[in-house]
Amino acid sequence: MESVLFIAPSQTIADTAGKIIAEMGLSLPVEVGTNQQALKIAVSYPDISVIISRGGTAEDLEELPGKTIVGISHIYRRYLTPC
Amino acid sequence: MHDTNILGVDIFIRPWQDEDNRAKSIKELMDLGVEAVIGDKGAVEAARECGMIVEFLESGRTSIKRAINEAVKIAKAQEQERSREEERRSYLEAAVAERTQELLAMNEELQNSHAGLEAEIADRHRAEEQLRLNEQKTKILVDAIPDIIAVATPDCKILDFKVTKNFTYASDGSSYSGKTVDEVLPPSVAAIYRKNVPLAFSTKEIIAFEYEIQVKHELRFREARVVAMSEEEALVIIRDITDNKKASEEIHKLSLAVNQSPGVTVITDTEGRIIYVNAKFSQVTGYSFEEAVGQTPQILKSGVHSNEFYQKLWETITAGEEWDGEFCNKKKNGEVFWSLASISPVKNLAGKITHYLAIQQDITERKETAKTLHTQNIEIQETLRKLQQTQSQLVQQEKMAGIGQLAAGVAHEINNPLGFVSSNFETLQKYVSRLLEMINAYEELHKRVLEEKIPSLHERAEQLSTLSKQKKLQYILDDLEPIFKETADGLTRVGNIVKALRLFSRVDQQGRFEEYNLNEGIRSTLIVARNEIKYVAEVKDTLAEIPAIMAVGGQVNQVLLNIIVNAAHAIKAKDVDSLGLITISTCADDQFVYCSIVDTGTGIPEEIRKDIFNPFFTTKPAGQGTGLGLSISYDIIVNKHHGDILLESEVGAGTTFIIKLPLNIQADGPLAEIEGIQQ
Repeated sequence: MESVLFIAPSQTIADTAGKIIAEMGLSLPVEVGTNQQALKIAVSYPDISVIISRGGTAEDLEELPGKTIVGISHIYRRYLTPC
Repeated sequence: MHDTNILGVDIFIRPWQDEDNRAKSIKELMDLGVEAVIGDKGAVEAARECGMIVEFLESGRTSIKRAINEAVKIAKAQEQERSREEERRSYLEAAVAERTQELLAMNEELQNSHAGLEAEIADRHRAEEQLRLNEQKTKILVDAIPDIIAVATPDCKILDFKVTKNFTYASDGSSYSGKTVDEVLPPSVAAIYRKNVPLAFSTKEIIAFEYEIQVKHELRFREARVVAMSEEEALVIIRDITDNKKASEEIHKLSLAVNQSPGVTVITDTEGRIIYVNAKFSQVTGYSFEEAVGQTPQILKSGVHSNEFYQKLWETITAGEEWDGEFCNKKKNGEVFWSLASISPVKNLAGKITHYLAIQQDITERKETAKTLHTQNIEIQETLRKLQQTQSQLVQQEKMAGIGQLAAGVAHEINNPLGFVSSNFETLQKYVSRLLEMINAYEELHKRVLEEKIPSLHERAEQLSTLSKQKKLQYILDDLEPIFKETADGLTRVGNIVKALRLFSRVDQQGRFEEYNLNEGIRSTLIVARNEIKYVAEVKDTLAEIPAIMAVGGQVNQVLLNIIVNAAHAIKAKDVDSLGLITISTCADDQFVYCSIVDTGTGIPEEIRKDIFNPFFTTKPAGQGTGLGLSISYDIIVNKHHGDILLESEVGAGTTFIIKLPLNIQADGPLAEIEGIQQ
């Protein structure tokens, strides 16, 4: 499924995504990047039509014409509030 | 010890101690009150009723997984949509292309249909025009054909007949139509037609035949071709071939003439390839017709002529001009032969060169004869030249001999009166001497008569004295002696000249070898040549005591005279005021006597010294010298006396001639040879 790109905001999420993708028996490219960096990464994959990302990065990627952005709705880090 | 606390939940992170007893470890942990065990891969290994943690732990993965699923789904949906879109586009494109093709085909069909109609109309117009043109052309063609064209039926009835200009008919050709051949042609000719016309109908082939016909007292030759056009009509083409026949006969005669011509005939194409040779060619060269045709004339090349020779030949004939010249050719057997050739370009009616015609005549024999004649001519000319030279020398010698004889004759004639004049003169001297004695005696008596004054004689004595004075007796008596002396000298000189003339000419010798004294020869020659010398040169002679030799004295004297007179002329030519000098000396050794004659004249240039003994060579102005003097001298000394003439000269200083004569010509045999020659 070369038409889906996963742009993770952190290496941890990238690792987790990579594992899940593997578990799902898929083969998707996973990159680490946020905001502008993520935009550059997305542009470097002209054949990709769907990009998975989260939060503000996903919102930034929405600007890309012809690309469908799928946002990650919940992620545990949101709960990781220091005690 | 806890590592972190999330939403009041202590979370401990520890590595597995025993991987092999993983389940056991998890149970032990659960037994210890751990709410949940989460594996290193994030999976909940075991949990109590603590849904929040599980939810928490699972929510991140779930979100990611969901997002992935959604993304994948979207991607698949997009892919499917793209596929469908592609299919729709392909379908539409195919439909459009198909329709376009249909429309184009329809359009083309429509156009073709229209164009075809137009083309058909145009074709028909063209065909009609072509038909009209063809008919016109055919008519022109038929009119232009010089042949008679007729249409005949199988039974030889003439349906149509084209009258042709310049065609001699047996009768008026225009009235032939509708008649049978029997009605318009002589029976013999009509029979030929009767035989061949039905044959053309039956065989459906072109039947050609020739026949003779008497037309207006002239025998004409005709060629007819009959071809059936249908079951009912045949086309008959009749051609008058009388001229062709005659031309053919002429060509045949010419061909025979060329082939049997005594000249070698070769015809080549413009590339020089032989296309025809006549029989004479084969006879002369040894190459047969078959061997020669296709070759070039180079097969005859002998190598005698240069490339330039052939180049000029080709330049001439390719320029359309005729080339004439001689060839040295080589036969097939390698033998060479000469031929007189004429090569002409053969041109067609347009003036373009199509062939070259070479006609050659074998002139080898003539060439050899000419060569022999040339050689003989040269020999004859040389002989003639020698004869002329000999003749001239003989004439000169004869002239000299004649002059010598004349001189000798004159000398003889003078010598006789000189003899009695001299004798009388001596007697006269004696008589005068006696008379003088008497006169002296009478003078003594006259003196005495006057001194003694004898009366009877005194008067007479006085008269005698007066008479003596009047007659200048004493003067006469005093002058007698010198007169006699001068007269005696004169007579002596005349005698010497006469003697010298006789000695010089040696007429009594008659060309025989006799004893000869070179010194005497020189002296007598000097007397004879005195008149030539005395005004231009002094002569100094130092003549040694030399033995007499055997020689033809008159001829040797002639040589001496030639050289001495030449010396005087050379001195005169120098054109100086003072007298020149001719020194003549003689000497001898045990073999030869020598005479050197040295002059102080102009000298002889080096370049002409080798020529001066050649006949007719002279440096003197025309009419003053024959050019034979020295050549005769050379002949006399060298050839007749086996001596030699040597020459030394320096231009401007003078010339020395040395004459060398053998002492003992008898003993050596040359005299015998000479006498032999003279006999």
